Amino acid sequence: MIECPNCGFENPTSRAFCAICGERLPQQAAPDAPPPEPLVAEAPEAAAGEGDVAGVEWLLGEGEPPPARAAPDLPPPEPDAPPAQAGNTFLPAWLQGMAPEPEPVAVPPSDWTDALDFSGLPDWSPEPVPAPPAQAVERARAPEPDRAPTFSTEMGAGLLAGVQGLIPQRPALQLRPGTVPFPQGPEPAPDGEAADLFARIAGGGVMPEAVVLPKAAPRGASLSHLLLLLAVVVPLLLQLVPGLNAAIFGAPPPLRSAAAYAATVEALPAEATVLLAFDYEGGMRDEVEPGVVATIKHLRALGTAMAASPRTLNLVAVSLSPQGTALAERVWAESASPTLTWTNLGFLPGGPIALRTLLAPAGTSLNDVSLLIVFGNETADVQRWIEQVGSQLPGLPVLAVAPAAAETALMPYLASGQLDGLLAGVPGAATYEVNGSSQLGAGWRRIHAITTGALLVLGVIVAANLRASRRERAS
Amino acid sequence: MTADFLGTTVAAILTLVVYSYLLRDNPLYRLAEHLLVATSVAYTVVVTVYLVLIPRLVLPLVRNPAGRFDLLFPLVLGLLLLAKASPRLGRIGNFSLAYVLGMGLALAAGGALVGTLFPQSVATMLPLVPGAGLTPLAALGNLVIIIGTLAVLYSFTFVVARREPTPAVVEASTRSPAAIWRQVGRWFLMITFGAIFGGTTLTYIALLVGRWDFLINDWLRPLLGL
Repeated sequence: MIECPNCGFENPTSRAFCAICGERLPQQAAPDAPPPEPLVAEAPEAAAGEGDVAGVEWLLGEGEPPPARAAPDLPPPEPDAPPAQAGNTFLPAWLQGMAPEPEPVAVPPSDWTDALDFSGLPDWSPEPVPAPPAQAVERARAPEPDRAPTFSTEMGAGLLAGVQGLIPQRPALQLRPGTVPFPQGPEPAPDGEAADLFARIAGGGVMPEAVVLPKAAPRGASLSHLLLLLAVVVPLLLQLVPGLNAAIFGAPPPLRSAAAYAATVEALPAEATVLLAFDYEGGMRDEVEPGVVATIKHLRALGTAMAASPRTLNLVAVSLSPQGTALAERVWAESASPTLTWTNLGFLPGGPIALRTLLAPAGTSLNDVSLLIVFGNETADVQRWIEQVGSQLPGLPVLAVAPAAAETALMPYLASGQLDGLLAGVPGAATYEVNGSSQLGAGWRRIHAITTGALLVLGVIVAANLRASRRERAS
Repeated sequence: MTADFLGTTVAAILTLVVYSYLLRDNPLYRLAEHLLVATSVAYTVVVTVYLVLIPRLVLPLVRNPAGRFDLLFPLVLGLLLLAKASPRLGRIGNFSLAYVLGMGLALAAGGALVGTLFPQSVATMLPLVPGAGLTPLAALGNLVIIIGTLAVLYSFTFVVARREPTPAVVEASTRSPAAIWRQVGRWFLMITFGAIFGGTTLTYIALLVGRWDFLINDWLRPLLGL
């Protein structure tokens, strides 16, 4: 007998590895020792009484006799030997439910594991490798009743004892130490159920409860929220009461860019063609269209007999944006006048290429155009006309209506004389309505609500910055 | 209810549906979003077909095929562009893209040079001595423009720093005229960015007020008969 250096189990001399833990056994046999005798089952009943052997039998098929092997004399059981396992507790968990109930038989001798050897394995099977330490074997032998089933990667015991390495082992699921397996976890919350499930499967265990920090309500944050709310509500209230704007705020101050815009329109000759570029889109309508409508109304007023010097004006609309065509028609429908003629050239695709076609001799000549007014969605829309058309026709006055966001980038063109006038957003339109075209419209109706909203947003910015700087000092 | 007011009502309801996103994302908002994208695409297709392809390409070719040989060139380029839909034949469409992009970029670059770079450079060459129609305040403004232009341009000069500068070198580099000049340029940049930010904020407040104006004055007042 060879005592296993790992678990102390007495193995027969024919074993190269421990039958219990799979540890490589020290070789004590002499080099000229005869090969171990083949085992022969003493009796079918005796073999059936052992868990492992019973498992082998029912796996091989009932009634099929085991291979004839010579059985050695079994020594009597030792007191400290591991007890014989009834049933199939040495089988893997996934096989235990499939095994038949063993018949109660007498406890076999302690070296019952000699009934197993590897002579029945095919030739191609690799040499068995040692199994992990005995603690894992003990755990597999006597699983704790209250412990959730876990997957054991050891095969140091049971039916496949000693054949570890035949099938490469890969852990399909690895739980972190201390994590609670899936069946014992709490019910996931309705929100994030999939996330919780994934966390458990992936080994994260039960997600800890989210720590809810007490919400601090710093003074600065409350003030910011209040101002932000007011920035939305106050403009609404100012819209509900017509005339309140003028009563509170009065007329907007004149702007030089808007005054220059009005003066350029007023300077049109008695008979003129005005090219209107509708390059804004529907999303920017509320910001640009007050200036557009005010411009059309101003041109219409110039064509009436009541003007100081009535003009015959031809308005030609063109658009580099698909939406611009419809917006042009819409504006014209609201501001149509028999004193003006209207031609819509429609949508010109191609951006700068389309503008060059307008300049080409074969295309629509711009030499007859007295004034170019660009209604742009952003800075680039106005820049394109200045760069492609304005630079080629230096004598052509160019006006622009653009959102307030584009004002900063367009002011250098105004200063350099490449732009003759600019209406920036609703403030520009309101100023133009009051001081230029003398016809009040949407710009005048909205300007004070916008100013109030802007002041409140300014308050939000100041309050938030004060709060941030205070917090920075405190930290 | 007239057709115009019906359209206004639909627009008002869609506006409120879009604002419902402020509460939380919801199916109605998604519906409005998809509706906007779908109608925009459909409208663009219709405009392109009826205002560009048919009147400017198809009809001239049909009416006078012999006299408009020049239109065959954009026709072929357009057809080649359709090959981009096929992974196998996609390379054929590169010819059209190359032509359009090359032409567009060449025109844009040329226009930027002639229409922006040169005129704006000239616009910074301003008189600084008051008199002859130039007020002292205007001269001061010109001085600010020149200083700002030069300082901002200089702030974009980048040099390689020493690997392990000594404290004396660091102090000298932060107090050198070049560093101060660069700092002035950064301040001009910050002021410009602040102005752009202010304009953008104003634009979005104007859009909000515009929607309020539309909902109240164009929809609610006629609806309630006020």
